[in-house]
Amino acid sequence: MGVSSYGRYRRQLLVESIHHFWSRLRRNRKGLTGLFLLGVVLALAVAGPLTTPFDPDRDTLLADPVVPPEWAAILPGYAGLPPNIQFRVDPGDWKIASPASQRLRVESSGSLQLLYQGDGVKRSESVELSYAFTYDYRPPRAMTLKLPVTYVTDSPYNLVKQEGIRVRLSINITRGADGRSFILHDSRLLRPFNGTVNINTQDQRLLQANGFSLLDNLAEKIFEKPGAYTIRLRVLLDDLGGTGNPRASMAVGSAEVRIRGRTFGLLGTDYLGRDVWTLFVYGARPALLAGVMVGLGVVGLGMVIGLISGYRGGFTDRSLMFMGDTMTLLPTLPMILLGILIFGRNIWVSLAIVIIFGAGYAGVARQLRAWVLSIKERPFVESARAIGCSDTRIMFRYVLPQTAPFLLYAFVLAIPNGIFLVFALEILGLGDPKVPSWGRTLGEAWNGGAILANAWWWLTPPLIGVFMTALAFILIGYALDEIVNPRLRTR
Amino acid sequence: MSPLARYLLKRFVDRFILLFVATVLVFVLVKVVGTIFYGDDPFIVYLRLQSLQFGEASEETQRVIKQLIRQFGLDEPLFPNQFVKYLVSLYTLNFGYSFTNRRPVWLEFSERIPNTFFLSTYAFLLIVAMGLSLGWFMASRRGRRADDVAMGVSIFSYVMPGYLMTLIFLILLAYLPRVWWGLAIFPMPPYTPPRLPTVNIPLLNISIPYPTLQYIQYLTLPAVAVAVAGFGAFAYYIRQLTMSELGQDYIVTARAKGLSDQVIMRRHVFRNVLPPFVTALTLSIPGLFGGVGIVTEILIAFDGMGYYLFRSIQAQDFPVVVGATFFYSILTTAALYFVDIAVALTDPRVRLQGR
Repeated sequence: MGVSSYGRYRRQLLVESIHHFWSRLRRNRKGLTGLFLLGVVLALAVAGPLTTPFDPDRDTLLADPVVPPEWAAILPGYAGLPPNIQFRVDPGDWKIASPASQRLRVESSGSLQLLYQGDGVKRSESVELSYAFTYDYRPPRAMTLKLPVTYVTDSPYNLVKQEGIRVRLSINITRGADGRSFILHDSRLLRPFNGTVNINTQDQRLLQANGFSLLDNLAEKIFEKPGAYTIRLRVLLDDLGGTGNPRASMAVGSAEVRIRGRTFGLLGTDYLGRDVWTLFVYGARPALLAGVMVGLGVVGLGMVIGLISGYRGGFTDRSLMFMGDTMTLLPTLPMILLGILIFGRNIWVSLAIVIIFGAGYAGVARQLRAWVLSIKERPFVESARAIGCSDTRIMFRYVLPQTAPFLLYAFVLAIPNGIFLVFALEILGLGDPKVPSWGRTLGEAWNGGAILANAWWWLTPPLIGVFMTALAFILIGYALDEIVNPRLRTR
Repeated sequence: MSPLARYLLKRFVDRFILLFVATVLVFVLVKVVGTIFYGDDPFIVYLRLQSLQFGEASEETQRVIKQLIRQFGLDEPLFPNQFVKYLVSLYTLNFGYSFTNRRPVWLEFSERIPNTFFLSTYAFLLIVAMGLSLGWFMASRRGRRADDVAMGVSIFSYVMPGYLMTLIFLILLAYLPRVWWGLAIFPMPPYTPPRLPTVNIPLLNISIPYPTLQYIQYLTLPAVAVAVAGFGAFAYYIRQLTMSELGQDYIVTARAKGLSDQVIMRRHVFRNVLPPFVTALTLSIPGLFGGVGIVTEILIAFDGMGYYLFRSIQAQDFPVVVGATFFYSILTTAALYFVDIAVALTDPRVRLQGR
């Protein structure tokens, strides 16, 4: 038999055994459920990040911190909570309330231009722009307004207060329900405004300017009642008169108004206002990675030790088995914590320590050893030895492939162990802080008072994710157990 | 020497070797690797850090540091001098002084050890009881609807780790009843169990705490949660063991003799299922006592050794870490030895041959 035809024969055997395996797995209900769950997790890991435009760590304050998902608004407790409301007020949208005098002209081509031409007479002029909108939700916690305003005063004595033009900009918001008005900005009270006016209702000075205590929330006070609201932008020009021909112009760009939502996205936000759905989706990769790494480590270590100790026997066997048993029977977490204390919080270090102390490679080694003990008495091992193969070659080329089904089973069942150990470390804050893992999210939720905030949207996704992943591997493992272990097949 | 006594002695030596290996490992990790990583013995690093507030350069401080180093034998070679000293002080329960609050570590431990001990034991006993009964229930109703349902429950319990189950139990049984109905059935974290009364043993003159009913009630939620999350694997294992036992020839013989199914299950199958089940308990002990138990303690802020170990890890309090790791090694090995005794009691082969 030539080499190529032998190779073809082996390949055919492999294909046949895979086919046989698949047809058995297909009839197993547990195995199919496991495969389906694994498919879901894999889909999350591969395509999940495509479903979200956000970065799990950098995009903070997407909405208010710890707010429920948008669809929760149909539930009774969350009815009427506002989503993110964001609109632009373009220059053409402003309604010019008080007509300008001849000295003060308003041009609205492209951007809004206020032009003033003085003639040396002392006077004040004002113009008021207003924009009306409706707000039909429960009060929000924060509102921001961004308004690009630039002004140029062409007065000859700009810095001298006795002469020239003083410009004052004030922005108010008026509630339609009872006509009450709140200060959002006043250039004389708050700060000079040339450039962009950034208004945030969480600003303490705004609270004080409106006469509230620092414990109040301005946005809640403003939007207490649903209904119509009007933003009023008032420009006051004080021409102090004097020599020269003072001129002033002011350009108002598009205003960005944002009322930070109290519901957000598919799964709400966490304590930094990050999207929980994004965190959930990005968590699948590190979980799978940790599980597969630990599984590979455990099976690899167990494979080498079991193979050597089963094949060699004698003193090697006994010492290796004793070492493995001792390592497994040591208390798991103190050893891991000690390793982390010495080596620091590094994902690879904790994976290595978990593999050595926590995930039970000794069990794999012991079971593999039992297999090898029976396999090494078979005729093909003897014939291999007769033609002069080295021990290493016999072990890894002839004995090892025979144990492949068992190794697969052990690998699959080692994965959930690894996932949960790494998950525990992450919950305790001993994982890698840069990786948006499910354990980190759950730990933050638990320590960040998600329970007291009733934040089920923050607490449950990592739980469901890790549970689903582990369940997938355990179900597949049980199915493999029934297929590989023929003793249980006959009921 | 009877076979049973020989077996127990052999196991005792085995378990003691395990404990010894654990202590050696801790020594290597803290002293040898720690010295390599920190550049100096962790204790000396701590001394230097502390001396900063008195002005390290001053002659007095240097003299005190030198004296302390000599007093604690830190200038001697690691092996054998320091190693022997370390072993002797560990096995005489002399753990030194805590870096953080400067009390003797043993004093800190003695308040917390009973809590951890009773919590782990409580959970372990519950796991054994629940695993045994549900596994037996499934096996005796195999192939029926009840078996399927119980199988689902056991898989769920196997997948869920104990600490997650504790979180869920806390929310469902402790928090929500409080919010919705104002019922304080179970305590909320932080878990600080009531102080235990002690009973004095006359001759040895040591006082041993014993749990009261109130205390057991206090521990019920975490213990039950850990047990609910831990029994599934055993239930599944017992079911599989029973299934494979039922395929044996002696069952056919028993059936041919005309024994009823119940008698076969109770008298023949159960006897054979019990020893491997007890052996399987051995493998779960390190993960339960030294893994899930600690994480649970940390998450519910339980006033026990696990939470204390975690906090001292964060504070880099080496004497406490070493002492707590030693405590967990002792707890694990002691539990393993008790399981060994249980194996001897359930498996007649041990009693006859001293396997």
